[in-house]
Amino acid sequence: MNDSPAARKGLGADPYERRWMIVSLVLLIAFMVTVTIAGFALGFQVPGDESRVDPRTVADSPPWSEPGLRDLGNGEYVAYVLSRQYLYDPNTITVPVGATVTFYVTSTDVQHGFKLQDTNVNMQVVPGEVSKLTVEFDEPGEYKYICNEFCGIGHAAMFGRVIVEAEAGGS
Amino acid sequence: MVLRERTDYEVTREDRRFVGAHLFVAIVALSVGSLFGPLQAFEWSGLDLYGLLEPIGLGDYYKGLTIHGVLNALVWTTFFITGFLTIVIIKGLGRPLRYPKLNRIGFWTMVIGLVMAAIPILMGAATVLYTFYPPLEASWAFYLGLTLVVVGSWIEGYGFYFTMAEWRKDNPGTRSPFIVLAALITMVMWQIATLGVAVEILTMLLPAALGITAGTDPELGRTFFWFTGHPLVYFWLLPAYVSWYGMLPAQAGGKLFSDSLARLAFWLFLLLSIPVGFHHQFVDPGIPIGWKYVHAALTYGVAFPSLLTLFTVVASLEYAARKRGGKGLLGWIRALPWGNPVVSAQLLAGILFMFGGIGGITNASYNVNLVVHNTAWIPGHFHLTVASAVTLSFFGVSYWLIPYVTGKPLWTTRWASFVNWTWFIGMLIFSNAMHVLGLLGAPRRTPLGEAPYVPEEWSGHLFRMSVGGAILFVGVVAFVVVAARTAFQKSRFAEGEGVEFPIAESIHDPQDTPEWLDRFKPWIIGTIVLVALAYGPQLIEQIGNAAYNSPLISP
Amino acid sequence: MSDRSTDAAFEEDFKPRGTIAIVAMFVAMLILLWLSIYLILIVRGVTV
Repeated sequence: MNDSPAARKGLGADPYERRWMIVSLVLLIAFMVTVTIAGFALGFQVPGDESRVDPRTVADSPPWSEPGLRDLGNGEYVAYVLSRQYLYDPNTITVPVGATVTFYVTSTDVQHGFKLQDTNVNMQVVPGEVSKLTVEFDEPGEYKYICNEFCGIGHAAMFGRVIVEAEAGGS
Repeated sequence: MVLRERTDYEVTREDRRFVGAHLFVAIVALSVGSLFGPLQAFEWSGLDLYGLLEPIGLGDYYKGLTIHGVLNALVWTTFFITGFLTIVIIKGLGRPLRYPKLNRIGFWTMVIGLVMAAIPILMGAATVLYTFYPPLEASWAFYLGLTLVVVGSWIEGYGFYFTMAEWRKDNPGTRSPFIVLAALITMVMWQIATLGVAVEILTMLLPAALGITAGTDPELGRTFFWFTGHPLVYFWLLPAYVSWYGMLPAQAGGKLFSDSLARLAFWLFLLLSIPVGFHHQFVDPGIPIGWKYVHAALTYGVAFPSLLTLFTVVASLEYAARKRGGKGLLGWIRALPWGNPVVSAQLLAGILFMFGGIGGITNASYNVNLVVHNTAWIPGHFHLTVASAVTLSFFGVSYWLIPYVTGKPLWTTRWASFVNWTWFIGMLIFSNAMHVLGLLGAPRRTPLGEAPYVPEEWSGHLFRMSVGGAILFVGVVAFVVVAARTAFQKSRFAEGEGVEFPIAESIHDPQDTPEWLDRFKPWIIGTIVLVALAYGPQLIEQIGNAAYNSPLISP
Repeated sequence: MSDRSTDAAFEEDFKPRGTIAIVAMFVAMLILLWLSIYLILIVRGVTV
């Protein structure tokens, strides 16, 4: 406590505390820079404002009237997934290894979740809104997508699977 | 009974009873809510005990989870906090409440609201968990009950403001006592923050539940909810900080390291607690990434006053320990009064909160949240915050506050210490397992015992989590026994004995604290401006484009 | 309770060395744990 009361009139902080404040700020800014680079330069991005739908009629109008996979060519795919108590439509999606799949997910009833295990696809699914994220499947195998938001009594049973096949083929 | 008082104002019997009534409701809520904790924990590792509760209508996992969340996270906290802050205002200012009747009206409004919300929950007509996201349907009584609990807490807050205004008039030029300033900042923040959920319930949920409107806009509902939802956690945390900054140093035998930094931290919490809600909506549709990013930065901002708190509180403890003869770079830690359960509860709470803080910064980290969103990591995280930093600290406060309001000695120091260590060890095991499960992809709020997709690699962690849950249950049962035996025992403090109301002195004279750290107006204006900037455009966008076409659906 | 003058002398000498050590350990732990979660994000692949 070497500083006089007069020296503390400004912020009134102790010199050790002032140093700690600077360290804290530097640390937080460093974290922020790191996530910013990953998010805006490297493609580790969160879902944004996609589009709105009417949850009462969405299941009857294209593209949601025929949920499922669309092959855009060049290994690019789009998957429209409808969520409802307590299942996904479709509940199985098959793509070849190396496929890039953009998921569009919405709900016809209550809120759901859409978490594709072992990837960064993890979205809140909200009636009236469309959630969108993309994933590249570099490894063959089975990836489950599970509902991770409470949606009612059968919530625990709600899941589907993406099957990534080792050779190019069926969809 | 004569109590040794720091301020000469003698708290009246009525005031003690009034504060005691808050604690009573809080602890009853905690004891009922906690019954469901181990049931959930056991279900996850395959031991489903809900069948046993079926005959009494409690066989539903989600009904139990709703009770656990509402009673523990909302009721235990809100009642304990309003009671604790009441005594802080009275003793801190050394004067009675300006309008005691007003505060009593507030309390009873909260009680009526609690009963009103509890009935539909128990009847299975509000199985919507404590976030009640639309369009999950709950009874109108549930929404109205929650509203009354919030309104009651507002009314108690108004009572605090009137009391403070009176004190200011009588003490011009004097710095307000730190604990009082901190208590009032907590209330002001709460009253601004709860506007979000108030609007959600009154304009969307209640009309839909009553059949007046056809449906809800779920994403708008989420935005309103999280306007309140994040500051809600600071409403829980700040009263624990009141104790850590303003009482713990005295209880540990020292002084507050810096009065002005403590005040600055609280002002920053007022400023930054609210405009951060989109960090709960990082993976939501319907919110542009730009606003999510702004809120990520502001959430990092609200981590800053907690980092300040870490330094100031630890330095205050080190000061106390060295004054007690503690030596060495870290050896002084042993010189802290660990044998006093009031102190050890708060020390252990603080240690757990270091991990809670690290997890919190991870959650706030924009895209990093993709790894943990809606996984078991999240309840793992908030059991380190609300269920440790807050709840374990409140246990510590109870060990002196129950004796203070009842005039009966703590039953007993040994059992209270047992509670603290049990809670600490149980929580370490439980929360670590939950964090790991979350990273492996386990979803939150799901009875994993019946989920078809649970891989074998989770099972060891699920078991560990259940063990932690069981230990925590032993801890909370012991706490309820300690509280009840203390309050309802026959023996009272002998003449000349009693509990001192703990108010920590500051190393630096509070009169040296700059005046701008003792004025409400600029900080409140700043808060409103910042909230308007951070929320205004997106709120206008969402309200302007609202489509109330999502009818309520029963869970 | 010690008297004012010894209090003042004690305060004059008090340097929060232990606090700095604890805070340094906290910072190390924060960086380590945070980075480990960040690495999980990176390993799980891009989303756009």
